[in-house]
Amino acid sequence: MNKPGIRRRDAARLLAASGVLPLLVRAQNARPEVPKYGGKLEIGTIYVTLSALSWDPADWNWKINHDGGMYEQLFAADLSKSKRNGGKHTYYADAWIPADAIKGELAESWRWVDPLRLEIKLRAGVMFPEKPGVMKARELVADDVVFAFNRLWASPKKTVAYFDHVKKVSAIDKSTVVFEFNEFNAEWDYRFGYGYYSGIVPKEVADAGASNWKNTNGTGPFALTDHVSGNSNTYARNPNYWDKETINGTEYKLPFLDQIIYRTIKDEATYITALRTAKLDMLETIRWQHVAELKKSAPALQWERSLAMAGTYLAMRVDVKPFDDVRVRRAMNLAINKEEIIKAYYGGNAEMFAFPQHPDYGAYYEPLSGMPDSVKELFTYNPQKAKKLLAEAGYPNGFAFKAQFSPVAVDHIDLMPLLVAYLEQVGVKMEVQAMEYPAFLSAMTTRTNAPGYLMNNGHTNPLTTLRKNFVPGQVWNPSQWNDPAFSKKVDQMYAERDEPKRQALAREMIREIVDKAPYVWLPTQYLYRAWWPWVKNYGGEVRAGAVRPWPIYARIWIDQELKKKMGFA
Amino acid sequence: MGAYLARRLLALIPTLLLASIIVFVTIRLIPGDVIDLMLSQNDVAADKLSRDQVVAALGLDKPVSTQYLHWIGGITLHGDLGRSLWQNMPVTELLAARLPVTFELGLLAMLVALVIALPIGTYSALRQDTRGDYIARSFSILLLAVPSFWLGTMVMVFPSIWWGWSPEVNYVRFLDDPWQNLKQMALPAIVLGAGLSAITMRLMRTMMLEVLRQDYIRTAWAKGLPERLVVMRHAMRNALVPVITLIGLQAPLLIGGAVIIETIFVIPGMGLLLLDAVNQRDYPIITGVFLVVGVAVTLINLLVDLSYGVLDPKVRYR
Repeated sequence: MNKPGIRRRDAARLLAASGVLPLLVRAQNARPEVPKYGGKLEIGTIYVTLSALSWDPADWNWKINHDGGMYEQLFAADLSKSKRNGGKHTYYADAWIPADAIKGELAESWRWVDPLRLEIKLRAGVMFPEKPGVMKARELVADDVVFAFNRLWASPKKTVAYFDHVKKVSAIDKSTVVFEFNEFNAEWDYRFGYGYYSGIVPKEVADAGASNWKNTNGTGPFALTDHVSGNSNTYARNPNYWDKETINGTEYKLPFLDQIIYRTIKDEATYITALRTAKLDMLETIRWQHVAELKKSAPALQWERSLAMAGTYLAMRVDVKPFDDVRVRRAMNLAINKEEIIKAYYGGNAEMFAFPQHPDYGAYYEPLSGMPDSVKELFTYNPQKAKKLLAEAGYPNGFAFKAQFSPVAVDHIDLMPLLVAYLEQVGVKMEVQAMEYPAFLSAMTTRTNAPGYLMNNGHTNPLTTLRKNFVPGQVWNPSQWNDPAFSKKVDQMYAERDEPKRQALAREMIREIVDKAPYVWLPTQYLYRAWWPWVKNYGGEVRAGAVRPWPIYARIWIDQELKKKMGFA
Repeated sequence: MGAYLARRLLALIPTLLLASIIVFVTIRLIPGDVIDLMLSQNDVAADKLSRDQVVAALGLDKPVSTQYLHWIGGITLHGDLGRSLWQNMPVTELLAARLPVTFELGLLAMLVALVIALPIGTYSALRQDTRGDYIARSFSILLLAVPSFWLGTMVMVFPSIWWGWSPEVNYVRFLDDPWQNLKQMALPAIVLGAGLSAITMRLMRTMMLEVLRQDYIRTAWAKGLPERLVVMRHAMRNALVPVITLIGLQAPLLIGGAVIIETIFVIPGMGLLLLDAVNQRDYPIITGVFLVVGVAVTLINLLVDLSYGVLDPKVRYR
């Protein structure tokens, strides 16, 4: 093997073993650090296995917001309120910025002129850079926002109901955009302000063909300079980017890095290896199974962990027997020893209750300890009571049912037999069907899924999680929950302007839905992220909008000296 | 020869047409629909109107037969394989970027296989039932027994744990930096070629043993020709005919194996493209890949058939 590799490894290990490395890192962290410009950052993002699916927001594909470092939006997360900076926010949520952490990105200010009219003042002096063959450099104006919205709205790939609440978007002068609404929707800021498809694509790019990566151009901190599908996206610094960051009282122009490279790596062993050998500077998704070994073989890595932003559950179709009976559904919950699964299967790397609401969602979330006894009971293991409930429901000898899952969720391959074994103890026979992911997903979207359906489902945000899981007709409703009273409450929640009242409504609905047990509520696992110590001004934040990391990456700088000292330059 | 070539090329047309119809239809019949996948990307449920709009926008509202005729017409009239349903990019452009990568990997793997198999297979036959022969045969069985996905993973993981070294994950195009590209392709080619070399090695040994027992070889020995000449000029040439046939038949397997090797070593070839396309039900890409693979496989087999004439003077094409 090559000698530089051995020397690097030896140097890093020697430093770690001698205790010098932690001291070096601590010393670097202790003294006020002066950011340095330049360098490149190679990232295995939270979607490391997934190549870009589209470069055009008008394709209505969520991933453009993750890959589109060149496009900016009206709002973004205020990273000065992150935990790393002494604030309370983790910035890990899929598509949610807490109300006290929203800041204007392209919007300088905004105000409600009346209950259904929002006026947004755009930041002055924000420039689209020149893109040869596509557009000349020019300033962003209100018409660009109107154009981006109208283009999105005219797309044949749009979801019609998405902007039902919007009546009209118009520009009243060069820097003022007005949103007129048909009705108030509590997700108004998310849906277009910082949502998946909210990137401001200029007309020139649309005319040149926004789906071709070579034509992309926006006001963001980085410009896409190369895309090798299935391998990498390369982004270069936008030298005319407008935003700044204050560090230790000094203001710095952003971004710090010359280049960012997203690596697309499908194989888990390969991306873990790439992190271990510093071919990746940071990796945003690591399953707990790899953590101990990585801490041993690459002791200098910095770590952060969060509860997954997706719940794991076994959905039970409430429109078919026997799951139309709440006693059966509660019995299913009582038959599974969740505490044991956390200890024995997840090695302690999971929590009992983080779905349908996530602990990061502030006052929208109510911990299990505060829930009524009937809810708490569902998280205990009580096979005797499970049998009693089954007998009361008319199934004294249990029953058999079919359940589907997809091995694409690797954990489910092991989890499913555990569930089968637990259920067998109370006389319930679960016949398991493993499915290829598109077929598995299609079964749910066409509502032809089996009575049992084991899946992971993202929260998206504190409101969407309630709507998409428990409102009839929604795609992500595998239990086919259909309760008009509950749906009405969801509508009320969306229409409620006052956030504390909205949060109270959400908490009440969570209590209700968890108690009715349309799912077997399974533990939520922790996911880890790791980065090398030369990655600075970073504390494990992942998303500053809807799966959008770019404001975070714009603030990272590389300590090239430390990297060199550790033998990796 | 010319007439034979023309006949073979003409025979390709119905073969490819039939293959394209089978792929075009069956990919649409498997469970899991591209529209379902697309609509599930969005957290707001799509109503029937939205669904119909997406179906129409992608051109999937027409009968499959019409879609097929449109697609095949595009190929024959304009060399157009359609556009990706997700990326909205021309399939020909996507394939043009990926085809050389997989072709290079396949070619290098083939070279690796031949470099290992031919000398060892020949040596093994010449030294039949000696210690060297036993070692060579055991080696080939070992290579046969080790699946490429396992070998690839081991090569990726263990050097990183032991020596802090791992293969490059940054793909560099051959034309941009040939040396860097070859450095990156070497390991995957060795891993992919190892399995193929085992089969080839064993066939080479068997064929050489058969040829070495022929009268004309005995005559060559009797004439006092040196071993090198007997083996290289007289024996190996005849022994190679079935080996070349085997290599031709292995071509589709190489492309299949590339899916796994490209995934482990992060090589953006057709294997990865196909894997993504199948997972996303991107029909134009899937049919495009299969068409290109079909053409490649049939052409390789045609080349194999033509090579018989070069290797064996008794073979005549009519």
